[in-house]
Amino acid sequence: MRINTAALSRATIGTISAVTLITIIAELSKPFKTLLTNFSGNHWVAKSSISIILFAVLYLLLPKVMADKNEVQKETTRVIATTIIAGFALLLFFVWHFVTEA
Amino acid sequence: MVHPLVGIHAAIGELGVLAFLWVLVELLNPTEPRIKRAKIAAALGTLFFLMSWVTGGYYYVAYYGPNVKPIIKSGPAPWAHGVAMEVKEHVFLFLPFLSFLTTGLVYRYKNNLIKDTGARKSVLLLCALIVIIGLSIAGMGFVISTGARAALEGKIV
Repeated sequence: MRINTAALSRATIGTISAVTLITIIAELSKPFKTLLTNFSGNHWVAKSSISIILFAVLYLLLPKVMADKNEVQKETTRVIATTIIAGFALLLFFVWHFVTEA
Repeated sequence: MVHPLVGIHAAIGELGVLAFLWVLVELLNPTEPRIKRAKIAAALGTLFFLMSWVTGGYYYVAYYGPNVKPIIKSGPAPWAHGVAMEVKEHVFLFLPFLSFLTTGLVYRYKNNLIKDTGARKSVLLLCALIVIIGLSIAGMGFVISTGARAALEGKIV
């Protein structure tokens, strides 16, 4: 089976973005965090499970709606930019959250 | 007593980082044998990150949450949990997917990585990103351990 690099890149971007958003929303909304905890007993386990399912679904569905244009450098740049932005967003959010909660 | 799983999880995670550093080195000046080794290293690195995910997750849920987290939060460096652990446990979730993508690129392009500089640069940058994130996570692990130690020392003195 030929690996679809565009779908793989977009699935990675979608998963990293979703993990970041779910994490921040869960910290700001107690009911949402409770929902995640009820899903699997622990909010982090729920995020892990959601990320695996989302990654698989995105990778399987995306090739049906987008062609693999072989723009690997462009796709990788998007992945790296998303990862850096998401990482710093989480860092800044948790610093802010810790300072305002204390 | 320090739970052995924390060491196992950290060691497996570091092996994952080293595997992607290996991929990076092999692809700096790729040849067919080097690409063959890079494929093995990338697959091993992905496997190590998956194993680290499971062992770290079990340790976090079964031991860290009920035993270590309350100690750190009551100690002199509660930010070791509030910031370092929170960032670490969530940024870690990026690594298995970045390693899947990198491994996918190495297996898709194979020997074309010799001539296709665009694909090769992409894999090299992804490997560098994985190594930087992995080492940062190890650093955050040290900060969290220090937070726990400082809290325990405060209780003894």
